[in-house]
Amino acid sequence: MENYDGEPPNQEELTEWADEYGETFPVLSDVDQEVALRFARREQLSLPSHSLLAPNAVVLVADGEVESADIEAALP
Amino acid sequence: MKRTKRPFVLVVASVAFWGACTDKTQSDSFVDSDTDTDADVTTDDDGDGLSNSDEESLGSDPNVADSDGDGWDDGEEVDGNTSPVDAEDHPYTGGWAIGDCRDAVTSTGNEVGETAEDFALQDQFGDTVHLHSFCDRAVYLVGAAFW
Repeated sequence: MENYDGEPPNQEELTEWADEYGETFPVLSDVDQEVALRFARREQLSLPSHSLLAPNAVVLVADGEVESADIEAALP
Repeated sequence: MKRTKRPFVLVVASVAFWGACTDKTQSDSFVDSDTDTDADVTTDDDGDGLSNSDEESLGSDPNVADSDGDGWDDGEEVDGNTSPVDAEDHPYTGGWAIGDCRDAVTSTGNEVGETAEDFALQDQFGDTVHLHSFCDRAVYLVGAAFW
């Protein structure tokens, strides 16, 4: 995630965003899109991007469409 | 003759116990480093939820509840699968559980079917969150921007 200036958000901005959307999961500052680019196709960022990992961080979907069946398959 | 074997054994066991523990400091297996007559294996001098004996094994201070000074008591850290002697490693303020398998995850790559590399990113509480902390469950990553 990056802020309005294209910079990594600070903690205050992360907290505001999490509160605004009632987010209870980790909201993380992805400096330089390091993690987003790991899963991006041909190193092109898509927003929003969706990736799904099974337990032990096994990649099931990398920057693609996540279906309900994918999530069910990923659950331990 | 009525069989009384079971009560008899119990009585002998009690006698043997008292005989062995009359003088605790003389027992080969009894360790009482703070000489309070309570065995270290059950004593928790700092009240952090870990026995002195466990603290010795972990390398934490049995007289300080928060050995690494990170704000989390040693017992909370062990329960949360973090280190009580590493101030940078502690349970997440957000309450997300850390899997005890986190150190066993071996990355192979970030393509489908591979084991993703770990990351360390700051969360909304200021903690550094690691992907491999969630090794015991599925993870759904959503990339977004403010603009």
